[in-house]
Amino acid sequence: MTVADRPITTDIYGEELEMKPGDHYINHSKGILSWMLTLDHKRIGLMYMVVVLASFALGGFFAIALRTQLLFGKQSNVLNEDKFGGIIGNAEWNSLYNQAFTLHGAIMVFMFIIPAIPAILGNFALPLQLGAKDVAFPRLNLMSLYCWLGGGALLGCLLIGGIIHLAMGGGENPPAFLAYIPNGLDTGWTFYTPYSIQSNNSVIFATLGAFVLGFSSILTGLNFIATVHMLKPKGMGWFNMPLFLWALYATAIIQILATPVLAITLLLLAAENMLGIGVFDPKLGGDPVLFQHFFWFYSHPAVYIMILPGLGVISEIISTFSRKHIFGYKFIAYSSMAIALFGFIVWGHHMFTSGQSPMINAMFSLLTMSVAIPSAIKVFNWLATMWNGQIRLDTPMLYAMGFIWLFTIGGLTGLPLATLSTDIYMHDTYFVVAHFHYVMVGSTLFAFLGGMYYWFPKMFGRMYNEFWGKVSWFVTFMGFNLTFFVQFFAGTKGMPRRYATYLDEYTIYHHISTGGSYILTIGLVMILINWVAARKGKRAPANPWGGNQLEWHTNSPPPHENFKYEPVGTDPYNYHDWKYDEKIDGYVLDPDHDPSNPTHAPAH
Amino acid sequence: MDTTLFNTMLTQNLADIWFPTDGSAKNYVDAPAIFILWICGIFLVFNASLMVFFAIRYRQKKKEGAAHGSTHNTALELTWSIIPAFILAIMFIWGFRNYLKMDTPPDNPYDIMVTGYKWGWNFTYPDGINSKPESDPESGDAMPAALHAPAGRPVRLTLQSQDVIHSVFIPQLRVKKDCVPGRFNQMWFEAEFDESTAETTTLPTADGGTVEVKRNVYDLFCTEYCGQNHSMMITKVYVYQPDDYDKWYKAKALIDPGTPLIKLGETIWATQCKSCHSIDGSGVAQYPSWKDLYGAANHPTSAGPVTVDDAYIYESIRNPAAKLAGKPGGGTYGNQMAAFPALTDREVRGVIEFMKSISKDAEADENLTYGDLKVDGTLKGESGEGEAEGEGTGEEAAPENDQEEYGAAAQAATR
Repeated sequence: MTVADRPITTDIYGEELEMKPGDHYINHSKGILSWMLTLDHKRIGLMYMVVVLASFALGGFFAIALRTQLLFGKQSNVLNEDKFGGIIGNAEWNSLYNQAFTLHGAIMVFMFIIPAIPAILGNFALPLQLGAKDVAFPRLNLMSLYCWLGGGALLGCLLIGGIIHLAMGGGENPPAFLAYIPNGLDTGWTFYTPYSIQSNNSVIFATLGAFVLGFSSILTGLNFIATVHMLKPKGMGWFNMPLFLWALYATAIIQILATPVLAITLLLLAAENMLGIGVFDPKLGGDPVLFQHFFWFYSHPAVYIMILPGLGVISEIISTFSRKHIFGYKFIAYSSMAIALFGFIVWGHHMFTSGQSPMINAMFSLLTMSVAIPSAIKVFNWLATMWNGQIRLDTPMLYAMGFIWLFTIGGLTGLPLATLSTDIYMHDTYFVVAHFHYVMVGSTLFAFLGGMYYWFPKMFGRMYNEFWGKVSWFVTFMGFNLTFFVQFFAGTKGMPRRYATYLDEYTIYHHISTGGSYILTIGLVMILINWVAARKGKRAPANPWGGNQLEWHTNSPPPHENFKYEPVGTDPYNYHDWKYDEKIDGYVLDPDHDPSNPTHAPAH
Repeated sequence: MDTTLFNTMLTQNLADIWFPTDGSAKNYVDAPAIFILWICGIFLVFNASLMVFFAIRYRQKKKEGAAHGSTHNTALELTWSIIPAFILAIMFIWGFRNYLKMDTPPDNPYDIMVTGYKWGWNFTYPDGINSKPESDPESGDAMPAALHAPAGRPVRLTLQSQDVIHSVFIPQLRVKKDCVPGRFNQMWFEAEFDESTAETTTLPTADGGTVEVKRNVYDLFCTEYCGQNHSMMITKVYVYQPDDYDKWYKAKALIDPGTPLIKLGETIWATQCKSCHSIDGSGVAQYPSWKDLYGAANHPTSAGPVTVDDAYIYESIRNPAAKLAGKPGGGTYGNQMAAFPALTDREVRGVIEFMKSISKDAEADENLTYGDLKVDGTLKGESGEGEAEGEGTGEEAAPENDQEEYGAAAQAATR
């Protein structure tokens, strides 16, 4: 064992610390059951990380599949008579595309974006930021993980079913049992009626899967609300909580209030599909647009479930890496709550062209615009935080800055979609696709990746490779913008969404976009390699970035019980007590300035 | 609000980057859209430059550093909350006023009924003529029925759907609205004839000659995902000068030989019957096959043996439960078929001719069209086909074609 390999790190005071087995949460106990049955929020966060990243890879696979189809999907012969004889643009080609974009959307939304930040970073960091030993209900936390796995398994049935059909479905007489195996979900992740009613049993699997995944989301939200209310440490009130907690708290409110509506909606849809109860089916006196109201009553707030935690991560990163107190703490905190509340009353903007009354359209247009104000407040406050700061351009900060760029574009392009007359034109074109990818994917993904890099040393006790971190940031950032910026132009030129083929005039946009998506993939793979390679990385000091939030007041990785002493809350954005120590390339605290430390307590 | 200034300032050149050709007489989209995109651009450049400038200007020199600075400034924060609110108010008011105009058809419009179906369009003109599949003007390939509209006059489309939600989107005319089953939505546009981009085409006349007309060609997309061939639910909009529109209208009525019934029936089978009824004798464990069915004597049913003739087929389509067909091994099939009230009489005739063609007990006439048919009075004349405004009947809405058959049916028309 060389000197460098010795398991030695430093604690928050810069003193050497030899990690022995059982000293931190990862090696606290051994065996598969010690993970499967753990109540430790950090381990649950890590397990979430593994499965959610696997879903991301799967969703990404379908994204690349459909973008690749679009690379070849030029529709030079509109409804060519012999199109069924050709490969491109025939019915199978279209079905393949429809299934790819459906699974891409469903997996990415329900299994990646919604749980990514709350379930991975939130689970890991929330109790640490509160100086707590765990979340308020650790068993519920484990249960939410298993709900996620259950829901994921139901969606996974679709995949396995599809593979079985591929393997056995060909030929003259396919086996009869195939009729009972789900196959070919092609409703889009939105399950719009009446198309979803007329589809096969795969819709039932998908809705039940999303239903169960919803419980995972509800339980996590419930847990976070209770934890924030009950487990704040001595010295921490509502207004010196880290802003990430505000964001998670606002998110949790949406999760517990909106997700049950989705659950009811999906149950009704499954009942309509199986029993024909006549809620959404116009033939039975139902209203297909009612489904859209129900669905978007959840799914629009869900957009804020996706983005709000990201906004919280960025607030932490911007302040820490500007080495400056966050600007306008209360405005940022309140704007999180405002976004959460406004998020509930804007769903109707998904239905401007459905034929609903001009009155309701006008109301939803106005309410939708109101979301722009708290969003703008956050961006301006971040810029004001950077102003006059001492900015460190490490990888997390690059992600935060990338986030500001993407979120600004995503947010601003919401304006022509909120404005009535312009939305009539842009609705369901690629402009919308680009807009929501900038918000949901660009922004949330960058916040998630930034957060992963930010807490990576704390989670694993190792440093990733900074150079490759930056390079992969650049590739990802470029790839993303190349993929999606061009789609704004395609959309305003009239390219509709969810098209497996397209007219000649849109070819250039699709080719650029597909090229960009390959670059984006390369960037993401580089990130993954960097993370995996960090197993052998330099050991991380307790506080590599000089943050003052409580998670930096413990070792990297933290011990099983999180803190040696019961920590005391201070201003999380006051960085002046931490001094840089060149030897360990991290920041250390003067024990006399640590109110949590009983042995080093200064004389009063 | 006086928007002429914005119109001239903002839309002149930028619109070309963003929008396709403008064929509308009243454009309610481009000016506010360009205005908003300008605002977006300004804010984006402002934010991004500040961010990059700060990152360079305030880059940390020594890692020890921690910055001091104000932690809040209420006046400043209120300012950057309120200014965007004013800009948003402008966008909202402008967009809402334009939207009201877009949503309210002017008086005395020209009415066309649009029915979306999987996967094509059916357009019914005021005298009840349906448009039929034709061919793409550039490639000559078959495509779904196109919309023919006069320029210089408001055109109101009444939208309905036969199956799932579709959406009519004509980018060049800046309009879009969903076709929702169970609802009748409306949209309207007024096209302005553009001589410079018009193409010329030849139409037949009553005296056997031909006449040339000019028309603008625009795209019509379905923009609400509707299943497998959603992306092929594309067709064209042809906009004519009023005079030329009359010529097209007359020609449309002229060139109507009618689809051979056998072909029509095959199309209906392929789109609506094929999933259950085979024509090769397979799948009889679950559903009756059509092979050799027509003309069969002593065909067992739940109401006793019948001869499979026109009357039996009619009854089985309109009221399937009346005489359930017998299974080959004894017993009858279950009551598992829905009635098809939407099929017109002519279409049922087509199904019958098609069944004849695949039966050893009957002979079908390959070239028989509905007009040729010499049958009793109950079948003569097409009920419901003449009522363009008959929204509730759904009869004329039934598409009589299918995407697989566009090539063959391209020249066909209703009667």
